[in-house]
Amino acid sequence: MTVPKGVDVHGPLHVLGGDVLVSGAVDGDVLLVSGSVTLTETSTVAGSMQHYGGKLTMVPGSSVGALTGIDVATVRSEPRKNLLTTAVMGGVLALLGAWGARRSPRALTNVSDAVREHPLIGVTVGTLLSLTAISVLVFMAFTVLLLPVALFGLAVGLAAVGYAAVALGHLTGRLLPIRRPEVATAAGVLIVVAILGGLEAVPVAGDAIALALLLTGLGSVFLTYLGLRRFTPMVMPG
Amino acid sequence: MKLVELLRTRQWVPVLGYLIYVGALAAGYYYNLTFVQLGLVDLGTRVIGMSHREVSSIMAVLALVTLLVAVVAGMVMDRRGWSSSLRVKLRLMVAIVGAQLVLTVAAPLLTTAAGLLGWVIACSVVLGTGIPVMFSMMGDLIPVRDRGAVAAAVAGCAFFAAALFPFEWEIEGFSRLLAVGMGVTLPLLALVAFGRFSFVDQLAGQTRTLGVGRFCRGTPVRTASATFWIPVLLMFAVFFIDSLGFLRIIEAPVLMDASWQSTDVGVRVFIAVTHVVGAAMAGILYTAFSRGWIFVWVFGLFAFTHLLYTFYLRGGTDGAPPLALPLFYVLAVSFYTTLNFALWPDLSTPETIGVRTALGVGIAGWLASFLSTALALSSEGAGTPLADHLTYVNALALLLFVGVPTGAYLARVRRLLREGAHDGPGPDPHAAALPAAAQLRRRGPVRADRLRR
Repeated sequence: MTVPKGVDVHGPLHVLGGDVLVSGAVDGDVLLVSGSVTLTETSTVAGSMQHYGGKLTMVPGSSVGALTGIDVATVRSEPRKNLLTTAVMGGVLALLGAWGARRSPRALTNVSDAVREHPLIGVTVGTLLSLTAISVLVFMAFTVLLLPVALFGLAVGLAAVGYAAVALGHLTGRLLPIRRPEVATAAGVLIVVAILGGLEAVPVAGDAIALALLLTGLGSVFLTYLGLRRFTPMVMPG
Repeated sequence: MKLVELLRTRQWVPVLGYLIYVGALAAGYYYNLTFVQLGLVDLGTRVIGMSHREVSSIMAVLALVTLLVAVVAGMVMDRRGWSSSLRVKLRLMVAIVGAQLVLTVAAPLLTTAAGLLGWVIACSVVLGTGIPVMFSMMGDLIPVRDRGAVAAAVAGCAFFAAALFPFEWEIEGFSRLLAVGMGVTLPLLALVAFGRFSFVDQLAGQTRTLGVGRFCRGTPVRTASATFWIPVLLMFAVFFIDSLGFLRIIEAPVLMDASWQSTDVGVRVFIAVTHVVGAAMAGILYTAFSRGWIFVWVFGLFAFTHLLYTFYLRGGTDGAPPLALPLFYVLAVSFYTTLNFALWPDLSTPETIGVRTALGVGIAGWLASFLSTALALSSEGAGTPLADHLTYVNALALLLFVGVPTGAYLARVRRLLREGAHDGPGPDPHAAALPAAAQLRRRGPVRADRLRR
């Protein structure tokens, strides 16, 4: 899309993955999410130029009301490094899973049963908890005073996500023809981590599925009181 | 879901009942959200030339008269046995839609404040009668198991449509459009209500089996009992605090840009979709959890939303507000609206559903709006700054959030005391939380093949 010189466009102008060349005037905000925006020396943006990722080129002489946003550095894909990271993460979680299956198999069974029997409730609770927890932690961090609490909360949240991944692995392990529960769980965790890693390669849908799986696990961890109780929803008549 | 079972076994008449209920309630709620609430403001300020304060006072009158009419209508319905007759409710619905059609056509013709007041009172009578008639239809048409999901569908559809259309409000054009919609629906509705159709008889016959609500099964719930009035008061508090806060919040132009009144299509679509997602989540939680937990979810979300707004306003309002604000607000609104649709029929039987839906919806929705409007106006008149006003609202929201679990816990303590749990040593207090761990220590690790099913 091009806004030619001498042409006024009424904003806001949203750029989602496209390429826009502005030589004229935009009467309003410009929002860039991925894609590229080039503002030539004759361009004017009356509102704010907000960019979240993407490529913003501002030629000297161009004018914007305000400039906000986040520069998202493009990370060059390094398959070997990614594979190594996934393998290390998978290995650590598999060890934790094996330890958990040996130490407290009922807890893992409770969580994985909740994932299997009530995925919709799990994903709902997981989504709600995550949204709230992330917002609370961000607001806590902004106070500076509560920054240590926010960091502690973040660590707890990551541990809960790890627990969720292990529980998903335990569920997968139960489907494998392996007799020893700790080995089955460890193998299941490795499969889950590999699947989650593989889903990253599928744009949008892959991330959404991976997120939904983890949120279901997270919700189930919460619903079962960290696996201490089996989750049973209300029994409905009719 | 029972609906899936009905579809699988091709029982189309009960499925039609779902469609009638969702269609009627979503359309009615949409009409209330847009034409009555937005319409009053446009009609009063732009067409008649009244101040916002005068229009707010008229809205308060609307709320109060609606509550009174709803309670009277509910009592009449219960006493005459109309509450347990679907056919009577359908006929009353024809009268309500017919009256609404006349009011909708008449609205743009109003030119004076006195005329608007008369229109509002007539509108209150119609709305007040409509509350027990329409809300109680859940007891005739929707199985208890599906009430959360169906309430979510109603809230989601109504909010989705209202957030996106009309994009630019003007009572004249919208009046014509709604009049055409109602004009088409009315003859069909009249045909169903007054004609002799076997499917209506079949639907009417469902009341006996579906009518008793989820919270009335087992122990009967009296209208004059804490079991009924505590939810009424809690829902009143939610609506009251929400309305009290947002009547002043919408004064801040920067926050208006992240609300229903936004002129940005992206924000409006975001709000519409979030309403649907929020309603779906609420429907799932309503079905899965006990009443206490449902209230904790609603109040938690609600208190947090108000904290977010106050935090944002106190932290400076440069630039557009983050979308986290409307996200949480919309989720909270969807949650309590879904709860409002499902809760009152679930606290009723076919014999009591008229009064209870009228009291529930009337007090929680309409009386709360009346009182909060009056209080927000007096706060504005007293010159209370927005940040201070929101601090009071936050205090109330937090009080509610802390009060509900505390109250639930104390009620449990009271019950235990009544049961005499303090008389003897009793069971190990930790036993309930630890049986799994204790058993495992005794049994040792469970083999994976034993865990498989």
